[in-house]
Amino acid sequence: MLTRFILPRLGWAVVTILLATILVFGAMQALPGDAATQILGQNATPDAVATLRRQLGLDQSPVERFVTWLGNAVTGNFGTSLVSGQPVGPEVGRALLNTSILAGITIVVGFSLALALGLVAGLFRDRWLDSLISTVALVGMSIPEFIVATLLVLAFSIAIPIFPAVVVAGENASLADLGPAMTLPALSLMFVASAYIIRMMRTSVIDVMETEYVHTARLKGISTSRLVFRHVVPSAILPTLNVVAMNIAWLIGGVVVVESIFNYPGMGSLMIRSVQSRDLPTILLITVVGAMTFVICNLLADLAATLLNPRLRYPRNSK
Amino acid sequence: MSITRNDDLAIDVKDLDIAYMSGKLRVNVLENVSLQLRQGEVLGLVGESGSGKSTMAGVLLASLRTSSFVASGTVHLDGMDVFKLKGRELREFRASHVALVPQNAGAALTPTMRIGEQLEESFRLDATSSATRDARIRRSIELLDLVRLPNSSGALEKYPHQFSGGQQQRIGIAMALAARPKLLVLDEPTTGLDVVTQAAILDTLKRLHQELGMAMVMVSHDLGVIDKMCSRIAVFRRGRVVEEGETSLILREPSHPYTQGLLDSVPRITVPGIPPSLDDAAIDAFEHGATMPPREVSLYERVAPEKTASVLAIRGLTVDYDRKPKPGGAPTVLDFDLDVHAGEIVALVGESGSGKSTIANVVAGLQRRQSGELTLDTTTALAPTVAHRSKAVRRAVQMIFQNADTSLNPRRTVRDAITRPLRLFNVRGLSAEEALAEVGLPSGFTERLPGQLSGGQRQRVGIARAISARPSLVLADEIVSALDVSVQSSILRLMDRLARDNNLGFLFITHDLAVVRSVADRVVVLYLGRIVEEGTVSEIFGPVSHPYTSLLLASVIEVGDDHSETIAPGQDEVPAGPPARGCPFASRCPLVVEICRTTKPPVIEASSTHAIHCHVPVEKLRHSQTTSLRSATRFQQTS
Repeated sequence: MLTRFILPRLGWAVVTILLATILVFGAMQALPGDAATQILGQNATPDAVATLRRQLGLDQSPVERFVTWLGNAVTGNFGTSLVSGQPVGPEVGRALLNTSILAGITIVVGFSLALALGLVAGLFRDRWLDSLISTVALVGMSIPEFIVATLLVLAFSIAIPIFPAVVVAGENASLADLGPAMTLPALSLMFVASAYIIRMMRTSVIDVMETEYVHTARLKGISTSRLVFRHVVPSAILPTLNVVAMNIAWLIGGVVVVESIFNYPGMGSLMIRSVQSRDLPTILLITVVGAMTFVICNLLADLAATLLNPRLRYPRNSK
Repeated sequence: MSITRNDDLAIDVKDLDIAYMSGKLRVNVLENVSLQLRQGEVLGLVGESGSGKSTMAGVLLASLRTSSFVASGTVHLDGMDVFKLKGRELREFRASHVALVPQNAGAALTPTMRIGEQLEESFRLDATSSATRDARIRRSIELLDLVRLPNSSGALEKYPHQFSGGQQQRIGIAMALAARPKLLVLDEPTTGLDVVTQAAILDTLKRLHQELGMAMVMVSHDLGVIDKMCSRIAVFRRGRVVEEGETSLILREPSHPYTQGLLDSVPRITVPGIPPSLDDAAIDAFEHGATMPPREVSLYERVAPEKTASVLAIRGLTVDYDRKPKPGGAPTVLDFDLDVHAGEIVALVGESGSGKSTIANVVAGLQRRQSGELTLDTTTALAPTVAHRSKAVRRAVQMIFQNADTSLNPRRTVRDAITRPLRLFNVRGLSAEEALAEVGLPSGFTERLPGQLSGGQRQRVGIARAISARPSLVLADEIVSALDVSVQSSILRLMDRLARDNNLGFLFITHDLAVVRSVADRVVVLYLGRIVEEGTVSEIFGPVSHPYTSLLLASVIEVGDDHSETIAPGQDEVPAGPPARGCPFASRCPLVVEICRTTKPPVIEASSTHAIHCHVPVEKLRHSQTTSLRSATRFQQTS
């Protein structure tokens, strides 16, 4: 299992992460200006810019700089921020923790709800309950998250002011500050990310309900709950797992827009700030973390699918 | 339960109409059906696809397709009006009175549940069996033993996919029997199985019926199976019962031309020649008051071509799906030789997993081979993959597939499907109209889409597509297996005519021995990727054959057999792969001797054209003459 399944994937994971950093590094080179011009502003003299460039090591060729960064990164040293001069690790770590809390709530509450709604929609196919759920899911898929977020703010911070609209404390907010402020960002994320899971689960349930084995099980005269939870759900959930994994990865990899709307001090906000200041070490570490999350989530989804699917667990010939 | 009456009848269906709405129009699936069956009897439901027999089977389980409804009439099972049952009552009725043995147990067992749990679910209303965990396990093992599943105690912890098709079917039967039903409904229970497995499963079912005595309803298109299993028979055509009564009576002396036509259009392993097709017009005329049409028993006997040039020669073909062969393993196909001559129909016969489709794919260039020479038209060596073959070679080798509905693009017209190969090869072949005329379809069909054609017509389009580029070799993979018998014989006649008129060589892959007998000139019998016997069609169906061929022939079930023969236990257990040495059939062979397990069998030349790969001396290969016995019955019956 380990050698056949996980090791090759880990190999590919390394390649994926490397490619992602190269792409991001290249894209940053293509942007006009660099950290030195951003820090010194428009009125800086060419001399001052050149000096700062030398200090920051930006005078070397891009290839040289990337190789140096890579060499350090492999040993766990991701460098210091070009803006604050502090090591990037702790700063990104704080942001990752905040995003993880937000994502965790969304995943646990939102995705369970989404799976349940998808199941209900599939079971009551073409009835009013299905139409309602499907329509809401379709709306969730079609509206961009910043509109959802704005509408939620309008409704629950302005019309009925029960939740704060933004995190006032910004990046220095403590966990206690974040608590109530997390509700609206989490709701926006749930609404958008759940839509795909609901649709996928619904389709999957409908497919399974039409299989011969569900028909046969029904003819055995078993109870509806047994039919649904023993015969339908285990098979229906398999194709949905990958969509769930993609959504989890998307959540952690930086829900840029939602975080900046609510001024939530997570990976997304940090990334936007770092891009604006051309803070390459921070951006590269965010890239690495994001890519790793993607790879790990997909690996976990495949593992879960294998564990849930007896066909993969017990290949036919290994009797 | 309320509404009861006359419960010595297992089934009492009165004036039943089942319908669905197509727009504002009511379409009847079943019309005016009345059927009765006494307790303990076995009823066969016979008919072609779309005749309503499967709908009838569903009705007996109180189950209809979502859009269908009972328009009028009543269905009483065991004295209970089943369509009046709702919710819990219906569930308990299903859990205790009726059970279904599905057509394809592989698809009917839930893939994510262990066999044990699925069995227990079926007898959970039975208080004694399901009292304790031990009692449940005991009852489950008892059920699996009842259906003769090998290693029954180890099976409970396994999942459905870990069993072969025949074993899955046995589990399906065990599951149906679990609740001790009073009525067992079997929907084509052996249709997807190999002939030996089919015979073994039917033996098991027959024994179970004798031991348990429940009433059974068996849906099948196969009259031989019905004849073996059923005491009564109801013949369905277009949603109506055209004839109903005692099996022996109806199959010997049908009083409706449809039953007669069904009987006469089935090819037999005992009688050479292609049977006549069903005459729908005559049947319709009869239903409108005309007299019974005379019984047509003239079979068309094909004549093999004389000494024509070779179109395909295969020498020493070996195919192995394992890239790195394991010690103790053996290649999928080993040392395979074959010749197809112009105008000749060569049948490649074997059970599923025998490698017949692998060989066709190698010839078509879709599957790589490890070694072996393939020669087309005596001069051209065939490259291993289709990408390395010239356009001329690709044009010369064409394939027809089993499922015409899935091998035609549903969005392309018939004309597109037929002329596409021509445009690809940039050759002047037949026009779409000419190709359709060749396969007996009107030229007006060119603009139709596959969805607008019947199954037989689609298969004709598939054939037209294959011949439009004027190939010299056609690979026909199970091309009549999915068709109703009435259409089957017309396609067989078409194959015969194309071979003769166009000098086409056919490599015809099939598991159906009766079809082989009717249309093939020469036969190659394949077992686990090795040739066990080859010869002309009369030699293969003659009195001397390889033990495997004998087993296949003995397993075929036809109307008029005495049906007493049974398959020895374990004879239907096909090993997962060929042995590394010795005879591939040694593990199942009734005549096996020690040398068979160690040494490759020699080739016995029973005649210049008849070769048997076997260690047993040829005198002992003369089998019990079942075939000649059977032909006697057949002639009695038709005279």
